Amino acid sequence: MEKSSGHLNLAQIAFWLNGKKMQFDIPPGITTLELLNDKLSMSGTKSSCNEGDCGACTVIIGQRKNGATSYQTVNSCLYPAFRLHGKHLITVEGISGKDELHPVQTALLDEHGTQCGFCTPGFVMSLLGLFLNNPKPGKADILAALEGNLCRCTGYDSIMKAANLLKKRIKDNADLLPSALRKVEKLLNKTNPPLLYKRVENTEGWETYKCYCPKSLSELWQNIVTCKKTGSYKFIAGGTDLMVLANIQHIHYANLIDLSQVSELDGIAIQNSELHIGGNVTLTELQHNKLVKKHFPLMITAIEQMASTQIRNTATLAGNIANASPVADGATTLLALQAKVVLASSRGDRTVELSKYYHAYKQTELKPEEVIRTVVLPLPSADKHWQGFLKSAKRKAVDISGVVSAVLISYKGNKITQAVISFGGVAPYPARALKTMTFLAGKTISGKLIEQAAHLAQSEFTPISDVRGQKDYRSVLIRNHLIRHLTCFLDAVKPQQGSML
Amino acid sequence: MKKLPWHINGPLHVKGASKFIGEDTKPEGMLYARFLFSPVAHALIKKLDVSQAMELPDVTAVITYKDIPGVNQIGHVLKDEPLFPEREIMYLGQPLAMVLSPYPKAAEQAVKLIELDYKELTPIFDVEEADNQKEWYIPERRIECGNVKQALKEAEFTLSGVVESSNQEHFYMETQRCWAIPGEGDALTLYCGTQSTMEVQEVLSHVLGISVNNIVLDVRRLGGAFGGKERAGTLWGCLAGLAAFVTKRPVEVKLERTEDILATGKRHPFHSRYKVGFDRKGKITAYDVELLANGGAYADLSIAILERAMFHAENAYYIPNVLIRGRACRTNLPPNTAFRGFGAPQGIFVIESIIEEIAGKLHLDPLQVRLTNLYRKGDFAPYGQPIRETNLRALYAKLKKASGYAGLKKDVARFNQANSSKKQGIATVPVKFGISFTTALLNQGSALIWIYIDGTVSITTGGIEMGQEVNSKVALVVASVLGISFNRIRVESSNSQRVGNASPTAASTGSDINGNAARIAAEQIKERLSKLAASILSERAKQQLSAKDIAFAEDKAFIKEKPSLHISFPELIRAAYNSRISLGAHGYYATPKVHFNRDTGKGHPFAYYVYGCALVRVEIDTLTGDSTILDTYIIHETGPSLHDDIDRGQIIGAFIQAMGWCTMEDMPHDSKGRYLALSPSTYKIPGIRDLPENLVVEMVQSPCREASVLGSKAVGEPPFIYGEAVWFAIRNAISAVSDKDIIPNLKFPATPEAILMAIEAIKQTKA
Repeated sequence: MEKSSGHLNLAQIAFWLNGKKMQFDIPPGITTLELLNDKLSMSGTKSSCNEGDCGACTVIIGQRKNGATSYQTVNSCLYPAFRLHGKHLITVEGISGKDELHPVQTALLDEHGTQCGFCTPGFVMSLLGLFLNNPKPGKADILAALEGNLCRCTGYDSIMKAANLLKKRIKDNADLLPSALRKVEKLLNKTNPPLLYKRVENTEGWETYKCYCPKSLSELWQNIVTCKKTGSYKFIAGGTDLMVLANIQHIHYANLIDLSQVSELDGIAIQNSELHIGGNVTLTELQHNKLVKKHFPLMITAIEQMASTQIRNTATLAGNIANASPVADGATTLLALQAKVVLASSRGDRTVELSKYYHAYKQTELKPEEVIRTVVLPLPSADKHWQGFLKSAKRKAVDISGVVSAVLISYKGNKITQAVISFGGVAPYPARALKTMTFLAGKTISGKLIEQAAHLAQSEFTPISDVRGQKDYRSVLIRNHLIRHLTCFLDAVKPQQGSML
Repeated sequence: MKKLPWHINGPLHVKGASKFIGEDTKPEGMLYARFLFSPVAHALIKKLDVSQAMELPDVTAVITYKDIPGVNQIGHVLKDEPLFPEREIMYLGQPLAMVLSPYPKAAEQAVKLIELDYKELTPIFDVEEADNQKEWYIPERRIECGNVKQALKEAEFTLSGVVESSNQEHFYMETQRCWAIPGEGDALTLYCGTQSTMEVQEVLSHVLGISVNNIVLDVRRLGGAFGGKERAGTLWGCLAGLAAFVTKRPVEVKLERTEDILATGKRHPFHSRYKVGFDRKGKITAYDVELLANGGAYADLSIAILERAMFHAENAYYIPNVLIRGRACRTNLPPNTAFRGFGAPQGIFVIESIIEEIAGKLHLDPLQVRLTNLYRKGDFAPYGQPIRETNLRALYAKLKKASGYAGLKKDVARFNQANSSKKQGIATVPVKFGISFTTALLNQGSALIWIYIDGTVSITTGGIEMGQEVNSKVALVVASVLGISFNRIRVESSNSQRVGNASPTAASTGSDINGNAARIAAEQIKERLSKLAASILSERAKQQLSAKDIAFAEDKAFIKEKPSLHISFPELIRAAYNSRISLGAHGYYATPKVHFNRDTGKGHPFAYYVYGCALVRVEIDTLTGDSTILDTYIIHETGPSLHDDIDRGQIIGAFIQAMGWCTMEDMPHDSKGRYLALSPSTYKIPGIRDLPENLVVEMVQSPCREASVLGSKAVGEPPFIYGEAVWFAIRNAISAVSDKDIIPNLKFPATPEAILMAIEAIKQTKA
């Protein structure tokens, strides 16, 4: 951490808190959770893990996105407070009057869905976020909305019942927010003035970094020049990895450059038979995108098993690549889909195959002054194709993989024309099983071929042991994942015969 | 259906308006504590120099053992635990020094400036190694009945083996924390994350060298505890108390999640060796077991936990010849501590493993072996307590009916025939759980009730509210005695000035002890009010009434024979005040007939038993090791429940927590004794997707002769045992991978890795 000489740049943020306009001068390092608990003495939003894994600090962020107001749950422990600038922060304290209860709150009480109460505000906000976006959720939607909230008391049955009760009770989601909160929607429309700073004496030992919020790439390049003069800098996109490092390992930088408002990094579109996914596109945006659903169902399957709703609402796909985790579910999936990344800097753009992007553990092609502008996916060829994704972790949801794999097979009849197979968690970075891919190309699928391919894949990697799994286990998983993928493929191309697997 | 009251603090909880520790308005001048945690598990301190840290401008104080005015000792059962180690570091994560600053970040910086030099000693982490080196807190304990040696010799069949269960992190949502606020003179008020106000008060008084009456403990509620704040909270409370006493300023101690997991003890891992003798029907005739508990660095509650494991070693089964030996061993892990079940789950896991082994050996249905061995009325437990009441067989009959057992078994067999990459397994476990503190003196409690002039009621008990809803239950009891509505009642924080000498809220006894104490207090007031109501209503009825003619219901006192003649509760209260009748009462309750002689291993340690049984069906994926619970059926005896939803919440919550222990909750440590899963990103407790597809809970509410407050039974811990059925069901599913009748070598907990490696081992034997 770099310390300045006893001075601190307070960010002067303006936002709405539960319908009320607020202006605050904050140390740029603080999270929304710290702002609520420590600066505003609002204790309803709870701190329990400080790394986005328990959901006790869930809040809703209202913001203008693509011409409409969106309401999304986020973990306030991972949401830098400076990002509130120009947005509407909704907390558990703001959704009902003093002597009233919100329907979500009543349902939890009716089903006895609170015991010690510490996780409860987070569940209230996650349930509210769910019903605001989807007044008639199915069981899968409910599970997805609540998988990011831990409760150690209830065993969840009563909370699930409360969600089902709400489903019956809520006819329309229009009145799920008090009118004072709804009114803010009109105000959110206006463009925000830029974030200003106030230089003050640093008496409380805060990390002294400064945040930049460029609106365009050209502004971004200027910010980089400015930052280089004052010390280190780091880009922040979704922030769901970076903020964990800040909260838990106390890793800080002199300057943070927030990419989330850079307009060139937005959007999903098809150009020249390729799907272009902007660097700022969140996992939630991808999950609900029609083009992604149509061409890359594998991507949807993968994202559904990644993190929680709160994380998916802020985390970007590009961040999953930039972070360079060896077990990145997104990057592993993209490898199978033969993705390319467009890296942008002040010198211009360059395109790199994702398979050539990784150099070593946490070392990539990405230079410090480059950002991931676009993730490019070639649309599948005219051949028939089959896609598979498989994740092995200790828990069914919100867990980091021990081993993850993705497969894209192009085929004619029973014959594999091309197979792309990628693994995460078995090498220093997500990697393809190249020998196995070569071996499978041109072969006709059969039980024997599956066995051979699975053993070949197993021989291609030498996984290590860590808290997510021992090397022997991981090695067996490589083999078994491939058996599962290829057997499912076999079933898909020969549905009449079926299979025992 | 009768609408049950909400959680007494539920409306506050759902609005985010309930206050946990450290959430009130911060007092002026608050100091924040940050700790130097030991980086090694076992070492001699050569140097601990805090001078540089002291020099940092915002640092108010750096506190070490040298600042302790009284004795540097927080051990309670055994006096073996210093507040700060002076010479010998005993575990990684042990606090060595405390920095105080008005700014938490400044305190963090200062901690880094403390110079620590030490000489490493050889640590012990493994319980067998500790046992070999006789690292016992106290000598071996024994419970014995019949003649095991002889019975083993005469047994038709014998088996012997080793059973292991692993630790479990409490993962209460609210980490350990305490506010200590100095008052006038030596007075000190602690808002502390503890289940045991009396213990913190007493231990801190020794540390500070002041009398107990200077220290006030006040606990409004805990954000979960599960035993993890019964004893483990004392350390943090004493540290906060010491800091406030020394600096004369309010102090906040609050652990980050990673610190909490690193530095606090867990459920005891057990290593157990057994020999068992049985006949061809699976009837167990002899059971010889050694239970070794890995207690960690200090005795903490390990001796009592070991004792409860021993009391539950035979679970629900009558075995005529038993020898249970227990040794709690000192290792260099953070002191392992109370966790829901308190050793009973570990002890029960051994005998349940054995039942499965016996069934495997005899090719019998494990359920049949269980039925063969269940206790009957008139049997005696190995420690001599008579089994006066048991309906285990009836409960099992209900379980078989609810689950459609015969059909289910066939379905599973059929499924396993037809599928090779998915296998299913089923298992059942019964429970007989002893209720009462096994340390008999703890079975006492008090309550203080005030009825105010408007007819609203304030109750304080020694019970700590931590989500188990002892407060709701106490209010229900008082509402029932006084015939008033639940909403009139406020249950206050547990405060040592209002209720002193409170036993820990633990051992599932919270509602029994505190509910009964509140009942007794309420009955005293009711008696006074009845007399008054009789005299008031005599005039109106124009007949002479006595107290026994009066009844209370629906916020009224009325004549039993003529309910239309009544006086409203608020009116009656005002009349009582005006007539100078006391509207306050103190109730005291001591659980009758509990005693136990530790030297002879005989006695009557429990007021009563809670019975039940559960069945679980799982499906495993033999390629990935993933497991899914398909069905769970729980038949649990509650007696006439005080509140169905509360009890159901306890049953399901305990089951899911135990399922976590048996499956995904894996907390390894490295070769240096450092826990590796320090956050929820690596330590996985069950999430909402882990809820079984089909979860059926049947509460058996028929009256029990041996029950407690208003006929109800304790419910906190007994249902934890049902989670063990998940582990056995998984193991049974794995065995279906083999075409032979085998017991797979499955590690505990049954993570996907453990499951897959067990399957691999079978496949390799085949090949």
